[in-house]
Amino acid sequence: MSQPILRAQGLGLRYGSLRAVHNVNLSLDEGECLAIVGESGSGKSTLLSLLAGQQQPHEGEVAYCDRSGMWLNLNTLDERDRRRLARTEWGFVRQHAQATLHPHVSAGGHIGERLMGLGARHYGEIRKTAQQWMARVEMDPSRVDESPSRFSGGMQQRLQLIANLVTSPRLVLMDEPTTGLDVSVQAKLLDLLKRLQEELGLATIIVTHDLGVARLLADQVLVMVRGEVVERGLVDQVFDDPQHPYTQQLVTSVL
Amino acid sequence: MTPQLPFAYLDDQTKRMIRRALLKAVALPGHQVPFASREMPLPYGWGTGGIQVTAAVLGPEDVLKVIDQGADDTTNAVNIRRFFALTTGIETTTTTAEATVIQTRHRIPEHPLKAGQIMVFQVPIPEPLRWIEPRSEETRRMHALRDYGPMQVKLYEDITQHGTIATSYDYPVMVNEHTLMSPSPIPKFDNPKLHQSPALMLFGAGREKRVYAVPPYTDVRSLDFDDYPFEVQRWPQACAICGADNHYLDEIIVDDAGTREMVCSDTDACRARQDQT
Repeated sequence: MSQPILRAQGLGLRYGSLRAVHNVNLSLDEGECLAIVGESGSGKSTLLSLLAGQQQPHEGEVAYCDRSGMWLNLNTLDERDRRRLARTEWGFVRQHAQATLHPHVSAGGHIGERLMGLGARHYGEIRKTAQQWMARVEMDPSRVDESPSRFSGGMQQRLQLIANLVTSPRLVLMDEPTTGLDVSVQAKLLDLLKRLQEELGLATIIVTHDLGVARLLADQVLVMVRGEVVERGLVDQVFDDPQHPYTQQLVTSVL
Repeated sequence: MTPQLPFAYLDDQTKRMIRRALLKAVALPGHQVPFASREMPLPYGWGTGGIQVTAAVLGPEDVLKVIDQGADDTTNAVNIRRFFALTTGIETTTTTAEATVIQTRHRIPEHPLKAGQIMVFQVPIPEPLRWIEPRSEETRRMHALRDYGPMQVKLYEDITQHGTIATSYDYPVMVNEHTLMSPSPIPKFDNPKLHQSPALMLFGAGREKRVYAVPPYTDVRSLDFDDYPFEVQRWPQACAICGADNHYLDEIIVDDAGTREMVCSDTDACRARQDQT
């Protein structure tokens, strides 16, 4: 694999006396996909928000290597730089697309938001870029002016995704992106994610409790139980030959 | 003058507090400065912010003009003008050129302002980002980081829905190429008058407890798109009373048959033009 772009060392966070995340180390390469699996409450989403720099850890640190090849410590990074990175080099896809989509802003407005935040000032070009992205993820470009509240769940999720991809990020963090969609829509979205990963060379971290999703998209997997990483490795290796009792349970319960 | 009240109604400590906030506002063009807004003898929404700013800047030599929707003779304008005449004994006027302080709601006079004049705006909602971000903590952070993309999204949506930037009043501006500012609910027709004005512009929001300012000769740019540039309102007809074709016009119904006329909203400018011709 190529250069590492994200590194976490000894990451820990407590909610009161509860250890939500404890002593997590990880490293992600350019273009690589890491899945974080575990049951509800195991600290997956908390870990993701720590990796995104959205929360400050109590222990450890997260470092990100930007386009110019400079390592930045996300815990000490200035808020201004963090927002710039979040808009240019990162994407963050949430489980509930509605929570990130504004009902009074059209699809084109959502896709153009990052561009306008970076100084795009040509309406026609912003709208055209939005349409190109819609076509790329099999959305009807003629619906660019519609409110996302008129879109289906799968379309809303795709809209959320391309609103992130429009500035060509290098790292996309996804929190349960396919949960809550029906099976056929899920399958289509997964196909799309797989394709975009390859086309754009995206590094992705995907939080999921669905082993099928992890198996399809990820190169590596982390298994979390009660805030700790209990097993890690290549996806096929971990799922075909699980070592930790929890992973064994997880794998058998699916198969 | 009513002897038992302090000059301009507010006590000296309060006026000093407001003036301190105003000095800070002038030093940071467009930046909203909090101040300890007082209860005033009129309800919120009627100009409590503007009236406190006016009270803080008025001196015994000042000449005050008050307009509401451009007119000197509407209830709000008449009452505020009389209030200050009673509490200060200073001279008042309806002529823009004679005034040193002009308190306004919704308009900037047509007659060009000059150095030494102070405009005081009554502001209902000082925060231009409020529509997209309801949390004040976050809007303050957006200002600090100059994270103004969402404001552009609002204009994008205007074009998407109406084919043109339909925002016609309270049209957002960048002050000094640095701070995003709400120019108060003036029509966008008046936005160009803020740019490089020789007069000092002060804005007061009583309910929201904020003041802000545009110092004289400051750049004020209305936001727009390269392919949808900022434009002010134009009317096909001239004022039915004075014949001006370069003033902001209001539509009024003049009889029971629903006959409409377009007339100047600035009553002083309209009268001045009638006198000339």
